[in-house]
Amino acid sequence: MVPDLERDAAAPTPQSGGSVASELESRVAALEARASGPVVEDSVSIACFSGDWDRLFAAFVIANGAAAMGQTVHVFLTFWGAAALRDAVGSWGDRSAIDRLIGYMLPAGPARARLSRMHWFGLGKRFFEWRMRRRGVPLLPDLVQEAVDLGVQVHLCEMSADLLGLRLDDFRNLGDVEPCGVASFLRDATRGRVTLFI
Amino acid sequence: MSQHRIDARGMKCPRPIVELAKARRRAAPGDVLEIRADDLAFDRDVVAWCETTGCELLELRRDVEGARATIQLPGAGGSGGGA
Repeated sequence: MVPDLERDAAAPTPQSGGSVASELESRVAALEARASGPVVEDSVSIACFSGDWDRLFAAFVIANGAAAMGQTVHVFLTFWGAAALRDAVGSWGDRSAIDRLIGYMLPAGPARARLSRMHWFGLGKRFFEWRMRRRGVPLLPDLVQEAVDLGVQVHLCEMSADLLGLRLDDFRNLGDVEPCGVASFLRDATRGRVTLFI
Repeated sequence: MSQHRIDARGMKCPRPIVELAKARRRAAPGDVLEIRADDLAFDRDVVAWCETTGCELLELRRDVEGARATIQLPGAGGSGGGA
């Protein structure tokens, strides 16, 4: 490494002083162009794909932490994550039989989500919830509510919601949920510094 | 300028910093927050929280009862930032 560095440092010397100055100028100009490029904001974008209770827990611990640090937080609910975070189902009346059937098969609300490991037909989850209560660790529904109270913006992937027979109505517990597509997710993710897929 | 006390003892991550953030919303610029917490991650977290939100960590002590941090919010005319 050292010989390379020496060669780099020595490279401009054979040239005249003027060309060194012009090269420096062009480098400064390039840096300035980079600095004035796309707006970077202090935001965190989390794509919540998994409906597993433990993964959602991790996602919402990060969402809460980021919101508490004053960062803008976008949570994008897609597929199983969307299904697991819905509230008690809105109105069943106007849904097709297939939509209703899928609705019954998916967990309704974060309290019903399953552990990805050690679920043990629900016993494992109860065990961990008992431990969490004893240790002052917030439970998933509380974390989700806290995130909403802290101003975390929840977006619902319109396409997967439609596939799973979910409606915006089913998410009234999550504040002003906005329907979104991949473009709005990418725009928000590109603006921020942190993007997570959980 | 007033002082706000928060007792986050018995709370685990991320609750202590969430409580800090809530207290900060209620407080006025330049106010002082005093928080007690016994979560072992709190010492490092409170430093990171202050750095990110532009608050000044006046004091951080840890004794047998846990940690005690004193934090000053950026003043109305101060240069401190944060959302």
